[in-house]
Amino acid sequence: MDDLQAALFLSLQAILSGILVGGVYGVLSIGLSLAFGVMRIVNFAHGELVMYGMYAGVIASKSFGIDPLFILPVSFVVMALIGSAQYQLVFKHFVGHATLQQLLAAIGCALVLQMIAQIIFGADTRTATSFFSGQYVIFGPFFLSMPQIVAFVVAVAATFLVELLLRTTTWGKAVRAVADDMETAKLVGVNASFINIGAFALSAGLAGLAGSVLVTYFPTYPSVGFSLMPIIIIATTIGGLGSIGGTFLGGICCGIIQQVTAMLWNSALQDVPLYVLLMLFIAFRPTGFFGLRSE
Amino acid sequence: MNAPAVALEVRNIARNFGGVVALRDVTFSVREGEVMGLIGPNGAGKSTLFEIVSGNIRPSAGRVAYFGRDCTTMASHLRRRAGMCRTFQKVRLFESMTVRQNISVAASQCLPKRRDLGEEVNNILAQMRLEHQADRRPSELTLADRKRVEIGRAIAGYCRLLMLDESLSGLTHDEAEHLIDEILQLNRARGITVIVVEHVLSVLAAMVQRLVVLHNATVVADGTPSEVAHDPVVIEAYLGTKQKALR
Amino acid sequence: MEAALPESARRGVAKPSSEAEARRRRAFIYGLVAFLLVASLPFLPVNNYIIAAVVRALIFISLGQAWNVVAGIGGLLSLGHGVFLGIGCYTTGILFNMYGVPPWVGVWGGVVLSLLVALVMGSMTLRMRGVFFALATVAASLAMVQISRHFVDLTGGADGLALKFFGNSWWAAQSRTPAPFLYASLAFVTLYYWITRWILNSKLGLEMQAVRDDEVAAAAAGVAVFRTKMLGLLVSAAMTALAASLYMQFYMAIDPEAAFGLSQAIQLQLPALIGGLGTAWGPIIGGAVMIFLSEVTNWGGTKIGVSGVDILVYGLMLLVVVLYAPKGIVGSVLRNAMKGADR
Repeated sequence: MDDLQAALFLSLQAILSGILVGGVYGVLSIGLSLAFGVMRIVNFAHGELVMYGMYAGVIASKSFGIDPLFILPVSFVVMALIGSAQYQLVFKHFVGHATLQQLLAAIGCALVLQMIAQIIFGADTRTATSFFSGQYVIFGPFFLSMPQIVAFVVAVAATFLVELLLRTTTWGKAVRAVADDMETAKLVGVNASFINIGAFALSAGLAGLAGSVLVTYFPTYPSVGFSLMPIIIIATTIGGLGSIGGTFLGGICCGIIQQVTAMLWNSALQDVPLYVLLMLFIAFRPTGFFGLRSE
Repeated sequence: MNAPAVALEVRNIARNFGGVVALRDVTFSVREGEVMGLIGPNGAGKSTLFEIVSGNIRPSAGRVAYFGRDCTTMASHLRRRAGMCRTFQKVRLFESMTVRQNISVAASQCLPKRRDLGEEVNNILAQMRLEHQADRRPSELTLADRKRVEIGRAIAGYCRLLMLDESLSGLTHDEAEHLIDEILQLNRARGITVIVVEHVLSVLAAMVQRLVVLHNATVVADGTPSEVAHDPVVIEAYLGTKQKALR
Repeated sequence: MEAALPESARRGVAKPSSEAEARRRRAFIYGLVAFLLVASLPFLPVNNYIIAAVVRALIFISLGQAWNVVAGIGGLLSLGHGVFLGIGCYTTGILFNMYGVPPWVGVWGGVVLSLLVALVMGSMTLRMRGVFFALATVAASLAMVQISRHFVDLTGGADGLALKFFGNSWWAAQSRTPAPFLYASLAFVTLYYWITRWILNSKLGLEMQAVRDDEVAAAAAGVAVFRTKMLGLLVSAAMTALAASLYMQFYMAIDPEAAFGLSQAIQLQLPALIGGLGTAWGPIIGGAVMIFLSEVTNWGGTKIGVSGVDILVYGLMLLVVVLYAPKGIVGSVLRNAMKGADR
């Protein structure tokens, strides 16, 4: 009986931390979801944008002694700019169809961004310390990591703001129109190219922001982007496309699966069920993958 | 003399897409050696029916029989190997391969022996008057020639039933006439049953022996071109749509 | 979602006109000269460092050639193709270290295992559009990274596996000098070149190219699309696993990241992408260009004190090729030659 109780307790603990971690995965993924929904761009370099956000957090905390949370707006803006550059130089040519060429171009970007990071920051693993590092909150019989709670709050706030932006502002409505049907939106007078670069910038900014908050409890290294990509893709898949809230929930699912696996089986293999899930999704729900939109 | 076999039988075919009824109780049959036209205004369900017969879509109900054999669930590449061949509305050739290779790929599915293969490919090239284009790539050809290649690829190896999907679109009047002649030649010389899908009546009238008219997801007429042209239901269908378009 | 291919995949076999024949003969002569030059290296006054670099290049090229079969000819972008590299390496390594199986035998274990994995992965993902297949291979290879890190007793964990050293030994396929590997890798590249040529002209090759160009039209022409894709994947997986054993014997060690890591896997794809997808010469020329640039930038990089510049150059090359020269180097040459010939 104790074993069962222990397992149950551990599962609940894992689920709670999974929700926290998952929230951040969610906000990491929203950017990708947005880019695909509006422009049909599978930004394989999305993880690299997150990575730069993470390094920004490291610099803030280690070189300037500032809590990464204070530089979130900076991360957002800087990554939005870098994202715009990436869009203008590369992705602009591939809007509208998720082709293999587009994927290859994204991979090229990813490699370039990774190596620039390696040259500037070195290949070592780095962490950032925030005001909340090492603190724990006791919630009933459960321990919850304070940095993770803070990150979760930031993630929820960011997601909420993006939803608000998309639903209430004129710009947001234009973005949704383009996501729905670019041709019709153009007919109605929407400046699609302007919307596209804006949406991509937002997507990149969110990645950077999420990275800065992620690094308060998750270490970074130049190729961390690649290892985050499958989680981001799965979160987007489960959540369905065009749905910001859905992707966020997808992220939470990923977080829960990951943490429960780590707790009950092995933390070194914590991502394996996610990879398997991704492959199963691809095999059995092809239209469910990246939403019901098909060209 | 025996009555000609039934090459294709379509029975009570229905197809829905979500709430939209694309086809409703479609029934007709085509005799071997016939040249039949399938027409109807846009949105009548011709493409859906075509895809069901060629094997790319499953019907929601009904059966398709090919020379007596039920093939409703047969994969499209198997239908082709059995002689049910098709072309596409927008010509789809293998752009990176030569004309000869385009035809060879299809022929090799039905002819395992290498020797026969070369002979058959030359045969087809001669039939479609493509000998001089054999080693060119599709991008270097005119539209009319590309359509010839597609038809050549469709009949290579083994072909008893040829289904043409709006094959005359984009051609000049003369080019279309030439192509029609060649198709009718295939019908006479090789005994290939032909089904031509078009949405313009005049193009088909001279070519086909029989017309099936689709309108609003079902068959509204089935007879000789002159019978169909004078059928009040058909006139209403075409004029009715024309009037809507003019408004 | 559409899955249109990079233009470099659309240039296949050259036109058999007299122009093309002359070009073919010239290419054959260049190839023969290069072959003889490389084969004579150990007898020339070059030091072992250069020979080792040439070996590295040739192994890299042969892995690129293997990938070219499924991606260039077949049109399936197997992003995580490293799965087969890793399986090949670990299988030979484990069989050798733990059970004393000589690599000449162990390699076939790697091939069989790779074929099985390819079969499973393929049946799950080959019916889907290209992008899905690509992502599924990514998932598979990243899963393998974690799995190989975890089973420490078997694979050596994160530190990886190092082969027990036997000095110069035919049985263990090991050598103190790189010269034997020079001939082995040269043989691989040459063999894979001829295999690629053979496939391109075979029935399977034509079917693969037809499927690559237009799946629906291929089915309408009678081609069994799924079976064709699967065969292409199986051939490519086997070729990769075979070359993997050479890789293992030369480097004498493997770790999860080098075996299954995405970065490594992507690098293997660049020779074909840059040189010309779907051509027999493409991976060879692309690989040669890449290694040359890589050595130059690394030499420059060490002068300034940074590492990883060569991968940066790879990324830039990939971007340049995709954006401005989608046919790859060989594709552009062929296309220009054809423009002249066609009047």
